Amino acid sequence: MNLEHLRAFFWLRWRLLVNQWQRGGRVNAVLMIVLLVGAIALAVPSFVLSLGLGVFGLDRAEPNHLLYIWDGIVVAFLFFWSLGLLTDLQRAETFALSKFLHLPVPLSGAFLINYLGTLLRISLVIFVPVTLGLALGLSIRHGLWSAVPLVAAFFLMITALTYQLQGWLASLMSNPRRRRAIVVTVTAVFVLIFQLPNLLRFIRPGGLQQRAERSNQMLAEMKALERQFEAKEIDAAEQVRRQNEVIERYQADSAEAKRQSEARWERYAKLVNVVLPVGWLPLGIMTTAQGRIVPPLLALAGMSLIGGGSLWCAYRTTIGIYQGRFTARPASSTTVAVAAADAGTPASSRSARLLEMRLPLVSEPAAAVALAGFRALLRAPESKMMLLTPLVLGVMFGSAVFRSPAEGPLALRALTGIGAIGLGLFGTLQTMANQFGFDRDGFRVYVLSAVPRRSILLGKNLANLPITLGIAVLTLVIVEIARPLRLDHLAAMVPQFVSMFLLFCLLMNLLSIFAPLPIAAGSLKPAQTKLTPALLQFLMFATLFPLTQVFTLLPLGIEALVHWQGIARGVPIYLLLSLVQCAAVLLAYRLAIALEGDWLQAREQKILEVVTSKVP
Amino acid sequence: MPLAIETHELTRYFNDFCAVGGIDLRVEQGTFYGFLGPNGAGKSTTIKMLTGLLATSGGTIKVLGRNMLDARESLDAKRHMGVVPEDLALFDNLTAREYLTFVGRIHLMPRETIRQRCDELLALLGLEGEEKKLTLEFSHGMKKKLALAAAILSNPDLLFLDEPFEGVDAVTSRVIRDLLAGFVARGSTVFLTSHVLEIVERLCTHVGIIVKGKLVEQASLATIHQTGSLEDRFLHHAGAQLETPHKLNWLEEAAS
Ligand SMILES: Nc1ncnc2c1ncn2[C@@H]1O[C@H](COP(=O)(O)OP(=O)(O)O)[C@@H](O)[C@H]1O
Ligand SMILES: [Mg+2]
Repeated sequence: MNLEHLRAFFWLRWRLLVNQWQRGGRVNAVLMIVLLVGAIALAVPSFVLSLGLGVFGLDRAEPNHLLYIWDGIVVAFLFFWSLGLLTDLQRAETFALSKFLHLPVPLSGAFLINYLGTLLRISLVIFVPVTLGLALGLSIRHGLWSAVPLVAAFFLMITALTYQLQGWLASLMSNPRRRRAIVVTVTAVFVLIFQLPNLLRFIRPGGLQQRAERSNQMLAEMKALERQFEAKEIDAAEQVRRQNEVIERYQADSAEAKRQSEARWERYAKLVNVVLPVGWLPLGIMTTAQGRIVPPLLALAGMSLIGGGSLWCAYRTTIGIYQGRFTARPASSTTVAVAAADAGTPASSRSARLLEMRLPLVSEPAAAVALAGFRALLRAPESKMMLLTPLVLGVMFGSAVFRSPAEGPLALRALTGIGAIGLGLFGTLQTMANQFGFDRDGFRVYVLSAVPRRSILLGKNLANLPITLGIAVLTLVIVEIARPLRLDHLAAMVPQFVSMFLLFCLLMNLLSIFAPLPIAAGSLKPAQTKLTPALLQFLMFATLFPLTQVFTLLPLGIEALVHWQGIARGVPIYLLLSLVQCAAVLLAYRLAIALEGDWLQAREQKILEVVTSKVP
Repeated sequence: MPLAIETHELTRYFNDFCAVGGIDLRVEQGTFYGFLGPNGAGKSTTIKMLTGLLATSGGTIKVLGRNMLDARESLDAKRHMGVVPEDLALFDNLTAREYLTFVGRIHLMPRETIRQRCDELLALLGLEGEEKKLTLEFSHGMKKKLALAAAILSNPDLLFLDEPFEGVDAVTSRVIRDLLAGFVARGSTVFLTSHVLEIVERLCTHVGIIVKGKLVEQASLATIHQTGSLEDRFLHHAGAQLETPHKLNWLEEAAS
C-alpha cells in the first residue's frame, strides 16, 4: 500500500458519491454539496462552541448532570448513525472489497481503506467536532483527563462494530432472497427500537395516573372540609388551617414522589450505562468528575478492546473471504437440490392456482393483475415491513379507545369505527401511492400488453384491497370489543369502507400516474428523491386527501345533526345516506377510472423510464 | 407481401445525442429479420420504439398495419405481438409458472391452454426443475428463457427479440433456434437484434445493418450473398476505422 493507492481509493470513493448525487438531478447534486460544505463549515464553529461550553458553561454541573448530558449526546449520535447505516444497507452497494481483490494491492491496506471509507458519514462530521470540543473543554477547565481518550475510544468502538456488522450482513446477503429479508428485519428492528418509548408511554402511563390520583385526593379532602364548614362542624379559621395542612401535605407528597421517580430514573440510567458499552463513555466521564480513577480506566480499556477486537475479527473474515473460505455455502446448494427434487410435484403448480382464480364482476385481465399483484405483495418482505406502521398506530389507537370514556355520544363511537377504516387505508399508503414503482422491470408487461389501461388500474387497486380490508376489520373488531357500535352504525361501516377505499384509490392512482418514484429492490424507500414528485405527493396529502375523505363523513354528520335537533330519532339516517353515497362513489369510480386509464396510457412510457431507472 | 413493420424517418434523441437518426425499416410478413449492429448502435432503442416501450422523437411506425403512435391502434397491434425487451419484463416476486399464468390471462387465453403450454414451454426450455424459485433468484440465462416463454405463450404473429442468445447456454440456444425456425416456417414474423454476425447469418432471411443510429443496409441475405459475404458488408460499414489498423505497440513488445 502506498500513497498512490490511497489517493486512488479516495478519489474512487468521492466519484461514487458525486455520481450518485448527480443521478438524482442537478438540483439534488447541488443540494447535497451545499449540505456537505455546510456540515464541514459547521464543524469548526461547533467545535469552538462546544469547547466554550466545556470551559465556561458547565461550572456548576454535578457528576450526575455530566452523565445525563453525555447520555443525551450518545443517544442523539446513535440515532443519526443508525439512520445513515440504514440508508447504506438499503443501497446495498457500499464499497465492496471483492471488487478490489484482483488488483495488486496488499490486503491489509485495502482493508484499512475500506474501513476508513466508512467514516465518511454526515453524522460523524457533525458529532466528532462537538464531542471532541466538549471533552477538550471539560479536561482543560475541570481536569477531566479521561474525556478525550474516552471519546476517541467510543468512536473507534462504534465504527469498528458497524464495519463488522456491515461485513457480516454483506456476506449473508449474497443470496438475494435472504438479502431482502435481512434489510427488512434490520429496518424493522430499528423502527421498533425507536418506537418503543412511544409504545411504553401509551401502554403504561404510570406517573401521570399517580399524579392524577394525588390531586383527586386533595380535591376530595378540600371538598370534605367545605362540607364540614357548611355543616358548622368547624369554624372559618379552623377550615383555613386545615386547608393549608392539606395543601402542604399534597406538596410534600408531590415532591417526595418526584424525588423518588428521579432517584428511580437515576438508578435506571446508571444501570443502562453500566450494562451497555455505549454507556461507558458517559459513565467514564461522570466517574472521573467524581474523582475516581479505576472506573474511567476500565471504560477506556473496555471500549478500546471492543473496537480493536471487532476490527481484528473483521480483518480475519476479510482474509477468509479472500482465501475463498466463506463464499461457498453448502446450505444453499442443498436447498437447490431439495427444490429440484420436489419440482414437478403438484405443489408447485398449486401456487399458480391462486393466479388462475376468477374474480366476480371483474374482467379477466383486471383479475390477473389483481391476483399477481396480491401474490407479489404477500411475498415481498418490503410489504411486510409496510405493515409495521399500522401495527404501531393500531396499538396506540386501541389503547386510546380503551381509555376513552365508556359512555360517549354514539356518533363519536361511529367516528372511531371510521377511524379504524382510515387505519386500513393508511396501512397500504406506501404501495398505493406508488403502485407501479414496486413492479420495476415488470411494468414493461403492462406497457407491452393490449389490456385496456383502466383494467390495469382496477386490478392494481384490488391487489391492495385484502390488506386494507384486513387491517380495517381487525381494528374494527377491537373497537367493537371496547366500545360496541349501534347495530345500524356497524352495518353502515360496509358502505363507508367502500366509499373511503374507492376515493382513496382514485387519488392514489393519480399519484401513481403523475408522480411515480423508483424503488430499489427490497426496500420501501424511493431510490432517489426528486423535488417535483415529492412536492406533488405532499400537496396531495395536505389537500386532496383530507378533502375527499371528509366528504365521506357527511352521512354521519347529517345524522348527528338531525338527531341532535330531535328530529327523526330512530331512523337510521347514517346507514341510508352512506348507502346512497356508496352508490354515487361507485359510479364516480367507474367514470373516473376510465379517464385515469387514458392518462396512464399517455404517460406509460415516462412511468416506465422512472420505475426502471437503475438505482445508483 | 404485406409489411409486418414499416417505419418512416424513425428518430430518437437523448438530450442532444441522436441514438436513432431517421431510419426507414421495411419488414415483410413471414420473414426472419436480423437487425445487426455494433454495441451502442441503437438497436435496442429502435426495438423499444417499435414495441411502444419508448416514445419517439420523430417519424412514423406501422406494425401489422396499425399506427403504433395512436393509442387505440397500438393496443390492437399489441394483441398480436410477443416481445423480449432488453431488460426483460419479469416480476421479482413471482415464480416462473405464476408469471406465465399471469401473462396468459392478460392475453385472455383459456386456463387449460395456459396450463398445457406452460408445461410444454417450461420443459422445452429446461426450466421445469426450477418451479420453487422466484424469478429474482434466477440466473440471467434462466430469466431470458422465461421471458422468451412468455413472449411466445400467446402464439403471436410477430415476435420482437432483443439479443435473445446473449447469456443462454448452447443447448438452449439450439432449442430456441429450432423454435424460431418453425415459427417463421408457418408464416409468422421474427424481428431480432444482435451484435453477433454469425447468429444473423445462420438464422435470418433478411438483414438490416444499423451503425451509429443510421440504417446503412437493408436487404435479403440472398441478395447480399450474391455480391459477397455478410461479414464484408458489416465490416465495410461498421469497421471503417479498421482500414487504418491501429496497433498497440506496447502490447507487442516482449514481456518484461
Ligand atoms: N436512456 C438513455 N439515456 C441516454 N442515452 C441512452 C439511453 N438509452 C440508450 N442510450 C444511448 O443510445 C445509444 C444506443 O443505445 P442502444 O440502442 O441500447 O444500443 P444497442 O445497439 O447496443 O442496443 C447508446 O450510445 C446509448 O448510450
Ligand atoms: Mg442493446
